[in-house]
Amino acid sequence: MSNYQEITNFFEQKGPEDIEIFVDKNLDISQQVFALLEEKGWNQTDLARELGKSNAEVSKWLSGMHNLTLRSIAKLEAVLGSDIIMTPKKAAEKYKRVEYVTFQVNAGKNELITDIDYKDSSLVDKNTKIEQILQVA
Amino acid sequence: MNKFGNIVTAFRFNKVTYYTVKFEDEDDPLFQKFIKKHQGETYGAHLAIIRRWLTNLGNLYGADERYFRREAFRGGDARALPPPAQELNIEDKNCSLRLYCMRLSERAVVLFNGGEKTAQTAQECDNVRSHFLLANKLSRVIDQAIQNGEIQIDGHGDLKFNPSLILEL
Repeated sequence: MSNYQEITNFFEQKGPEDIEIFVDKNLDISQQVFALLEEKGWNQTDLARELGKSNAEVSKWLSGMHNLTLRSIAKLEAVLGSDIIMTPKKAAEKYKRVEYVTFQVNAGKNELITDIDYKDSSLVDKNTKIEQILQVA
Repeated sequence: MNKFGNIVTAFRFNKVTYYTVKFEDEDDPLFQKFIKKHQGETYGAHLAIIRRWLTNLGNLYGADERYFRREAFRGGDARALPPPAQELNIEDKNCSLRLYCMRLSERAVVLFNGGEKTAQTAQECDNVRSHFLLANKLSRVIDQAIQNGEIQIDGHGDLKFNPSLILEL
């Protein structure tokens, strides 16, 4: 909220949906790339070198406002060795295992107390201690 | 003649508080003047980009340095939105609207005024030159107030200052 009504109104307004999606996705991509750089211990200069681009060019790519092509995203994924974007269908397949690993535990007694509802039996069996299960999960 | 103004809160999000400056002899603070001037069809899409940008930084990401365009001039520390980009066309027009501001921390940004940039540099552009120069002048004054301890930035990046603090230009 603001003491200035026009400013409040401004932030409550919706813009064209495609533009808002564009800004959202672009910022998401930029955040994801920076997270991957941090994971790899790289800075923007390292990335520019790996891409064979200038620092200024890469800076624009990662500004969150660049109209990145799929080709550019593919180059980024190739040098970073990781997905930056993923379709919902592919993401659902990749992370499907997580939704099957549901179990009930009595955390105070360090043992399983009820039937375990799980579908991937390779993950746990009924004699597994909680610490082992948590490590697997 | 000198101008006198105050820093006022424009809008508070979870991760960023946006401030603006209100001059004593003017009804609207600078950011409100920017909104009023650019609402409508001509700049609607461009303003939507700036709004979404401010909202996303405010709600999700914080005001990271990399998300601002550097516009520092003559000892000032002004920034502008949106940040530099290539090939960003909206309805076959480049996004040329500029909102000048000063980033103080991940959690505090002061929003000034702006306009449509129609020349290569801000100094050459009749639309934005005055906003660009004012933003840099204000940023120098705010920076001085920080150095004097009149504005403090705490460990979280939040601002602490007396609301009656007068900025003199």
